[in-house]
Amino acid sequence: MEDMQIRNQQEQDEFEQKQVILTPGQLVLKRFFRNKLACVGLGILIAMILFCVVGPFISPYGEAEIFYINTETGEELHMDSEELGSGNSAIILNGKAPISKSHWLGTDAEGRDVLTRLMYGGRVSLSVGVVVVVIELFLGVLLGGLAGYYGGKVDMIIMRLVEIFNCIPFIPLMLIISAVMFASGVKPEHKIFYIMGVMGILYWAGVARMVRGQILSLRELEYMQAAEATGIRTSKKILKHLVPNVMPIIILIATMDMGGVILSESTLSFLGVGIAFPYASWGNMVNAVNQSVILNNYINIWLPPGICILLTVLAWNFIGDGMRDAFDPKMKR
Amino acid sequence: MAKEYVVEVKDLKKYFPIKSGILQRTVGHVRAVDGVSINIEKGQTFGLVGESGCGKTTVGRSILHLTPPTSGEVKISGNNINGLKKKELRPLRPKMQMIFQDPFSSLDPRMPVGEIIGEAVKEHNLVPKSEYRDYILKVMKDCGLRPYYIDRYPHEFSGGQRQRICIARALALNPDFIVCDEPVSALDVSIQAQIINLMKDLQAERKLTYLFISHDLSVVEHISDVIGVMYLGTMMETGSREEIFREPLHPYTRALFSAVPIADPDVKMNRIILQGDIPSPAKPPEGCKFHTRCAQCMERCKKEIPVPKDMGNGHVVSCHLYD
Amino acid sequence: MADKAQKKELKAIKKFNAARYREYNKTMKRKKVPESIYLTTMKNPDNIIEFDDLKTYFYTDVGTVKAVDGVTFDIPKGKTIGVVGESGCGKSVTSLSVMRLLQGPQGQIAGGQIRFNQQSTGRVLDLTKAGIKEMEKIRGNEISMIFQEPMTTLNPVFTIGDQLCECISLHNPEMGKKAVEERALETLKMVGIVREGILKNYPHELSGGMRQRVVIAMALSCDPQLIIADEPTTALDVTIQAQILDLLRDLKDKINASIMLITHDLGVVAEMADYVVVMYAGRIVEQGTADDIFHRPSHPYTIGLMKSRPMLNTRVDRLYSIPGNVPNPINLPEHCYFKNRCESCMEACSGKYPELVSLSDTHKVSCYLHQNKKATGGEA
Repeated sequence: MEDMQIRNQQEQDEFEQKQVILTPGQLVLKRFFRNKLACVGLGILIAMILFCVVGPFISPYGEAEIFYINTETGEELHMDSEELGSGNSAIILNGKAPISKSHWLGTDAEGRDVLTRLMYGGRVSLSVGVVVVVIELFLGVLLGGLAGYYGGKVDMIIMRLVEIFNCIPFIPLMLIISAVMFASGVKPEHKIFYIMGVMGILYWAGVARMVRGQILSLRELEYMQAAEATGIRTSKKILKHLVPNVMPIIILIATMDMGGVILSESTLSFLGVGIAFPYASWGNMVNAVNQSVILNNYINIWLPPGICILLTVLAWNFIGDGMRDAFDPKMKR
Repeated sequence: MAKEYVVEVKDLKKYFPIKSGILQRTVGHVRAVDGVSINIEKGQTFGLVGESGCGKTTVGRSILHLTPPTSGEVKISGNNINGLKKKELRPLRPKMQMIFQDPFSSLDPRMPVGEIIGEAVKEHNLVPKSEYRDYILKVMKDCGLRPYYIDRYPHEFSGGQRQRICIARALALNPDFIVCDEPVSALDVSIQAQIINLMKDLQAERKLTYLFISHDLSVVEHISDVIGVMYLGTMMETGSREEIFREPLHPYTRALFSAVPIADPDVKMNRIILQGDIPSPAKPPEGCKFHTRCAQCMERCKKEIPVPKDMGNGHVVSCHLYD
Repeated sequence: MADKAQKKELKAIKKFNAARYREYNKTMKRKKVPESIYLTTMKNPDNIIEFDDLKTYFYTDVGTVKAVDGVTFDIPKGKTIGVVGESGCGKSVTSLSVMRLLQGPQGQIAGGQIRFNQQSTGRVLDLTKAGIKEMEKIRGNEISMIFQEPMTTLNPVFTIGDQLCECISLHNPEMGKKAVEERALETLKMVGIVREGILKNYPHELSGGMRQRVVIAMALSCDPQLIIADEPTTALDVTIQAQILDLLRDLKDKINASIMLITHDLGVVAEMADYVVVMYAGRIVEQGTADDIFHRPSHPYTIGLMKSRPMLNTRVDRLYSIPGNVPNPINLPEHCYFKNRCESCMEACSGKYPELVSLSDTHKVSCYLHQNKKATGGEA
């Protein structure tokens, strides 16, 4: 009888040891990759990043390079070409050129290569997304964490601040800032940094609120009480218990917001408030539709940046959804 | 003969403020614990029973100062821990531990078992680094955990095994005193017995002192040496297990005992059914707190608060019936 | 390598599940279900419900969970059946199968019959095949359910009166408003609530015990033939539990409904039940009258359960405990599921899953310890 029991125990042990063990992180990844839509999103995003980061090195043209054409010979000329100065009236701006071998997506109204600008514009849009999200996370996690962990007066002050920030109308403010920047003569290449900063500062409030809520609910969990009861230092408690457990929600906010930030930046650029000439951004490329001629006859100029925006935002949303389901399978449905 | 008490609690009170209005002014207090005194001898188990909302969990947490008590004296292993700051309490923590009710929320899901158990050991430098892993493995073995569990995460374990991990976490600090807050009520019957046996074995081996909080009378009877019955934040009756079960004095204790269903279809109990529900602890009844549901309620009970009275053999009861 | 095999397996599971889901959705979409599909006959007309080899499976991403795997038992008219087992043994899933409240398409009834003796029409329905329309008529009307958490059963934004009257008038459309209200008060009186203005109260104004009484009143309001009580006292305090149990026992005699009591507490079963079914990992390990089970427990699991519970006024130094844990419900082994935790495990236990053996007319057990008794033809 007894060796039967020992045998049973051994069987159990063997069975248990054979089981593949996964860390919580691995489990999340596994669930993420099982989600087809999320994988599609990730694929689109990687393709987009490659296009924007590697693309400009392959493209033979520059971002602000303008092309001219000799209407007599049909020869295309770069803007630094000597012939430009010759006063030849046959040489005109090669604007709105159709799709051709040398310009895969044609040129825009100012005679610049659309495909190349698409690549440079993507760099701007993607990096704006990343930078703004980093800023908003830094502020939001820090302040939300403080509010949630300490509670009381600190919480009160920070939450009132959050409410104030939530009341600021985004687009009018950006219009004002843009006007101020224009008046004080900020260089166009620096404008982008200001915009990123302002967006990050405006967006932290939502993050702070989410993080605070998460921390409040975590603080009540028994393992936090257990950490207190075993006499773990406060700093360690925050670093080893609190931070890893708010990580999911931080990652979630990051992916979910990324799409929104890219959209906002596009909106601003479209309105002419964001990135300005000669620099490209998907938003100010779409802005070309302002001219009804372009809207009607030159789809190749405004549709590609529009599709790029759509795909990128969609990809981020797919990834965000996938992340949410992967972190908490119960939240599905 | 002077008894050696590991835990001495005198007149412990814990009031939670009720706040209301925009200014969050305090409009009253929930008297979760209203003057409870407990003494526990070394190596003994004090069983605290009561229904939900009677403040038994708050007693456990206040003793450990996880929620600082409003007033009262707490002495653990001779250390007076009243009014100590969190920082000052920290070095004393290993001596007093807690086992929680819910084995699912009491383990950090993002930490492997070995680290959960060993985290505080490292924090308090209880064992040298070279012996650390062996020490953890030994504690795990004592608690009936297989050595290969050390790198696994809590989500792979069932309730019983998780509760073993919780016990191992408390035990690794080599405590004198453990507050067990309903450690088995979330578990299945067959697992309950395993955990109770484990706790008893560990107690015998290490001379542990338990404060065992539970609503389950049969479990409390099995594990305790001394039993206290709580109702609405006050102790109604305390006494050794034999005394209390042989002759429950307080009407509430009697009703409580008779309410437990017995797993035998032939035994038909003469059940004392209490009428009504437990009053809200924010507005406890005047006089004896139990008088609203008591079958033997007298005029006096509605006005005067009964004083604890020793009926001999350490059997203390708070009831006007025995004046 | 192992990873590849695993992936292949997961793919196979997915394909298998998809087929099951399709089938399920197809049957759910049927508008009209012809009577011939679900009309059957009872084995014994004195029973209110007969479970016959009921199989309820959950098709999950990692494999099929056989939550209920071949459960057969009857509920006689006017009797109380206690279904006991630990969490995950399939006792709640059995009751949800009766009501057809499983989370589809993952959870579905994969086989077997639940024959229901419908008194009002004199027909016998197979509830596993009946259409949704038919089920809606039965739910609440002829079979009602009491859940564990009274707060989640009652809708917090409606008054007790609203909910109770709705329940009554839904199943008795011919009744006037006054009559419905009277009926509601009557049922509330039956469960021991005689408070003025109770109908105007909201659930949050009542205590846990009162709420559970209201839930019971709702279950009773339509004179059901069967009441399924899923852990009706688990969320309550001991003294309140005593009140509710007292009430249920009292009601048992007053109404002529059968009760299916699902609980993990042997004490509650002993007080209430005429018959007891003990389940383990989705199967019945032992069934019999309360007397059989409590005085002559025969399956090692039942014996272990009894012994592992500390009893009031009985001193033991050490509780008996069943070693090990409940097995993983996915890919259960071929042999007896209890084998690895069993004290009286034998060589034979590594073989097939033991069949149910009759020890007496009422007492059945599924264990190799008693298998030889069948061979000798002896009655215990």
